[in-house]
Amino acid sequence: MCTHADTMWNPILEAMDEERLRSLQLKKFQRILRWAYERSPFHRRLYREAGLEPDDVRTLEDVVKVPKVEKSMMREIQCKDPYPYGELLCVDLEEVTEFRQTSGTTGQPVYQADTWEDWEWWSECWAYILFAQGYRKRDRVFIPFGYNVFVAFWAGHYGAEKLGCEVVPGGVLSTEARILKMQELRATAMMGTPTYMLNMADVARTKLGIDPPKDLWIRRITCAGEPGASIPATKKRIEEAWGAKVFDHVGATEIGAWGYECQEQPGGLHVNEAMFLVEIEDPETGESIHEPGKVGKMVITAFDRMAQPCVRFDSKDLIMWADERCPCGRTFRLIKGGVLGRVDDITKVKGVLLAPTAIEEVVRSIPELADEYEVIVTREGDMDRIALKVELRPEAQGKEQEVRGRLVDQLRLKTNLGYEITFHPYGSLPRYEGKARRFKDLRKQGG
Amino acid sequence: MEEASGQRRVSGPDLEILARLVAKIEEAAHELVERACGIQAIERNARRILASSRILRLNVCDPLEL
Ligand SMILES: [Zn+2]
Repeated sequence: MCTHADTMWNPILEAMDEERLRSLQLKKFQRILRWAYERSPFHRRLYREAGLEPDDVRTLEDVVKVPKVEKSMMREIQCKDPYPYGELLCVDLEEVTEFRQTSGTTGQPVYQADTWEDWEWWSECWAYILFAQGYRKRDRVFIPFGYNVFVAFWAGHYGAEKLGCEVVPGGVLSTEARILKMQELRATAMMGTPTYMLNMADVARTKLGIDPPKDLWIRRITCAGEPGASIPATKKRIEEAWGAKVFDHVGATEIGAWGYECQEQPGGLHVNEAMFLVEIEDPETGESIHEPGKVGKMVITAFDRMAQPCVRFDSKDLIMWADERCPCGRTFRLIKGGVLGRVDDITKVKGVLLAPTAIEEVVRSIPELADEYEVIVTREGDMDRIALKVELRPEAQGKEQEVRGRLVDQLRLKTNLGYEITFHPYGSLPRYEGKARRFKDLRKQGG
Repeated sequence: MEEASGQRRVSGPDLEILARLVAKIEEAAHELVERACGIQAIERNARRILASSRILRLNVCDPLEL
């Protein structure tokens, strides 16, 4: 047995020495850059306008010369021929076998074409994730996800299948029906957004009288779509609610599944550096950040995605390199704390920079509070106001004053802001299946 | 596989041999496409093999060619 073959999907790449890994990245970057330049009129125009030819990239340091692609550029050129992908498409339209689109959280959805080759690549990237998280052939994986135009757990489904797991598609079922099916089939693992994982556990307890750690067989959960599984307080809540290990992974429709937590759970995610080039840059100066511990914006390249390549995509995700290697033996570097937020999410309230994940960490660390909360920022005259709506768990009724005191102190400590806190009846705040929208900045809508 | 000392072998598979086998799969799949006389049941299934063998190429052949 090859060393690490029991813990790594592909130790040839995952445990490759760093020097060879960087050589591999350069070679693969050069290959995808040339492919995009030769096949996509959009990329060719972008590069020619910058005076760049593919041969100009000779070292990894040269990569920064390649112009970045913004989501807004992708929106502008789509819905034209070859319809609906426009000039980003690098293959004949008839080679496209998969359509997906982004959720449109930040504007008009972006359409994404994939070929069979791309789809194999998607499931391969997920195979790296799931194997690293301990999924094996014996697992029966339940996927409580509305299979549709969003890529989300589609690729997780096919990745699990590739590992040899038995996959149960829990598509158009109610939450109650999904839980009962998981119980009946003794499903051992599942995938979902952190929000929905908490919501499901709550429904199991309150509506079905099922205690997930005792009455169900779920022992590992892979989360995506929100930063929650990398927020310690949220991760702990999901782990306790299910009696399962919770793992984070990160991906995006226009990028691919690029990072994953391993079984060592080192407080960060491995970047799949054999499949992706992750660069971090200072959002204000645009300078590259190589040192650990300094937060910046991720610019990412997917080396092997062919139909609609992702070359130096400006993801707007905020990340930082960890300063330590993971004990698991992977050479793939770690990003500390997962995706820390998005450039667009970091907002100034009352003159203070605020990351919504900091509020989540506080709310979820107070055991008396239920999982849901809502933050609303408004402006009255020149004054910003920030309201926080929370719910007490049924067993904590009557403790409002005590909890309020702790909440105020912790919020002040972690975010340096004062909030107008209101308590709402348990179960009255919105529950989400997909990506939650708990942070509402109404100032941007003129509210 | 165990070494005489009982220690686990630390070496991996022979990438050159693996890469040759991947090339053989691809060669055979391409030939299937060429000889399919337009029969889709042959052509498309051979194409599907090529979509999978490309992943073997990424996993095995790319690191070998460094
Ligand atoms: Zn690790």
